[in-house]
Amino acid sequence: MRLRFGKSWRSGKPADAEPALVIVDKVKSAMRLVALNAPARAFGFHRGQALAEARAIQPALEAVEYDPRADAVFLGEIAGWADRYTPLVGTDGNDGLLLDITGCAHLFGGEATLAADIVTRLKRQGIAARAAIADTAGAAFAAARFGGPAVVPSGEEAAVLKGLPLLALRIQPETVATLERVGIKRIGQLLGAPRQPLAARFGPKLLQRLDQALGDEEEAISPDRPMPELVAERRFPEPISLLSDIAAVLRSLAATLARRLDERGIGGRRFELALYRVDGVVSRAEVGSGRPLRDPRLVGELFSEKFAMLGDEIDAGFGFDLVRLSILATDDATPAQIDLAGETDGEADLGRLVDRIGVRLGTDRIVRLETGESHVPERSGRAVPAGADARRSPIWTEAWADEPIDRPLRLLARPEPVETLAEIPEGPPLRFRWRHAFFEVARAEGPERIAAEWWREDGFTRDYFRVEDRTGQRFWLFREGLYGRDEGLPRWFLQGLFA
Amino acid sequence: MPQADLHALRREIAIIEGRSPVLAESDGLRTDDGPSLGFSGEADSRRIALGVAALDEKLGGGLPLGALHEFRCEETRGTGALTGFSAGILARIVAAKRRPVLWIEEEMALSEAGLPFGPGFARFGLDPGKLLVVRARRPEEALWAFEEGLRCTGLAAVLAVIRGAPRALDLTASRRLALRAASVGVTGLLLRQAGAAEGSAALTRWRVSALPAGTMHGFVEGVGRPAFRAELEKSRLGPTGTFDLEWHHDRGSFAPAAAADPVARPSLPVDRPADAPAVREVVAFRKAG
Repeated sequence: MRLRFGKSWRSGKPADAEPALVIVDKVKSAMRLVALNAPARAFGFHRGQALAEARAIQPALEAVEYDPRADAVFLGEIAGWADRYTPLVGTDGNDGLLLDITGCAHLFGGEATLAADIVTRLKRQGIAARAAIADTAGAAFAAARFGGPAVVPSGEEAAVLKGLPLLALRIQPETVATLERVGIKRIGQLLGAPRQPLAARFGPKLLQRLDQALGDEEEAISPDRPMPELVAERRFPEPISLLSDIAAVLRSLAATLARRLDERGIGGRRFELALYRVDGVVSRAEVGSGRPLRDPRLVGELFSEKFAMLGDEIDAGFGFDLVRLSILATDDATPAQIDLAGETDGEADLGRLVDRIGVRLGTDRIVRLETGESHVPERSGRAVPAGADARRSPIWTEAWADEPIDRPLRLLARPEPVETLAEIPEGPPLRFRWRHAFFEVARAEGPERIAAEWWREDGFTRDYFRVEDRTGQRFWLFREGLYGRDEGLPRWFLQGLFA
Repeated sequence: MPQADLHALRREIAIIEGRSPVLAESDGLRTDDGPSLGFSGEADSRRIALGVAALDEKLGGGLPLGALHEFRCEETRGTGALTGFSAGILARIVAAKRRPVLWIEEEMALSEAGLPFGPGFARFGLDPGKLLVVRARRPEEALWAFEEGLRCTGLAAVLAVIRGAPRALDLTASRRLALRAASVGVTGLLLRQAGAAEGSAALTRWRVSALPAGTMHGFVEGVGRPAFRAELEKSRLGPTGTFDLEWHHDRGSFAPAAAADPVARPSLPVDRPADAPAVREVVAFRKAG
């Protein structure tokens, strides 16, 4: 029966059901295989093979086009996940991660356990990975990619590298090809060779890579994410998922950090909460504060605003097994002196308000007004985030006692064109139409000529009029361009509303 | 009934009605045999005098601080006058309190009438450095920021501009705001751009419209001091009325609008306008659904 009907879809293990899959990209004017999974390798396909050739052997072969951008995003996500082990995570090429675990391994039960933990957890997420730990980034690279041991013992780098191919040194394929032509195929052959001729023939890069792999030369990895100044975290054997639990953990982490901030006399300006879900997804929330913060209650408040705003965006799924609170930026914080009038209290209260609104609505949505460096109205005022430090106190032009107020209280987002129905040359309009409504001009004052900055090519000279209509509403109109000088002009615009 | 008992009862009624007992005593209900605590012209830290005797007298000494006041204009284009009248009040509050103001703009209102313009405020006599401007995306956000602001002891006042009659701004919401304003003592100014006369918990409600500007130096053709018609439509303090005011930026004060106006003024209704029951019914019906 089985033979006749073929294999039942129930009987196979999921691994058996996995079809051969290859990733193809256009290389040398042909679609070629750039990556393949195990079943595809089992057919005898290899990298660089033309897709047409592979399809001739296996017509049902599934091919997916190479998408480097999606790969990079995915690698970035894994890097974000990997910072549960260490804050220093850098991407290595387009398919590797480099973790600086100095001082972290003991938290995970030693180096071997740490490496195994990474691979197991990734495998659970459906990602096949190899990991190696070594004293140098170069040695770890070679061991992970070219079949070295999972943990390269300290000082044994040369011994491990000796038998590995030259590509394991992270050098250009061209250099490798040249070296192979002269018979050097293994790293071991380079170790004993005289350095001078090697440098002369193949450039300083080869020796630098060799020294880096052996630990004779320092190599720093550049982390993808900013290095936090202070970190507190908690791991859970049983994942947590309730928002109230997270808030409680957050408060206790903030309390831990508060003590350390206190010791140093600083406060946090930017905080990041990272929630590591059991299935590998990491949710991050960042809040900023206008003043250095220490009080765990205030930090908790800011994050609860953030959660209120994020709402359903944080999906707890099967729960979080690691919660980490990092402080990304700090500032000196001297304990505020509270005078008897409680004036400082009011200021602190105001700072907290600005922070809360900034977190909930976005820091660019609560602004201070500052002067701009221009006479052109739309550039003469600026809005700067209220949470940012004040650059200087702007000097505003006030109106003299005996002169009228010549600037409107409100400025439209952009000047709106108006139709002027009757006009005297060089004078204000008699009637105008704005947003489908007619306005009869009763009185007008002007013009006030405001020329565009000389360095702007597109600027026209504007003549501004303060105009009052018959019902007493006051508007700021301008005529753009000069009669007789500018082509197709003038045009009229309404830019502001007076009190 | 003995005077003391009457006092106690009035206090109790005032508390039930959500007014402060002090306001109750000065709101004109007082009989002639008690000592009058009404408008006496002296400074009161719980009120801000607007600088016009007739108006301040109606308010019992000035606009009460730590309360919610509502201002509305009928049409969007009246936002200039609406902004001007409330900016004048704010300027006086800031001068007295020396604290900043939270100025909230809802996106809809903002796209219609533009953002507060710093140079304009500086010339008007309200230091732009004292303004914290919030741009809220939705009315709900604006009301949330409004309520947060009213809780903040570091502020002199909170002002929010809301367009029309959003669902979020119902009687319950305005009651919340009114209670909040009373709790810490921050004054709340709610500006309703193109807003109808709806029920609200505000202590006073004003309808603001523009008046032809006052003349400066006898230059009748020019546009001089900004002038407004402020109609006190509703007041829990008692009397209502219509006031023609001018803003003097040099003194930072309102003044009665000059009576002699060379420009022919269009005839505007002088009496208090009837409430708009039709609108209210429609709104109530829509909200119930």
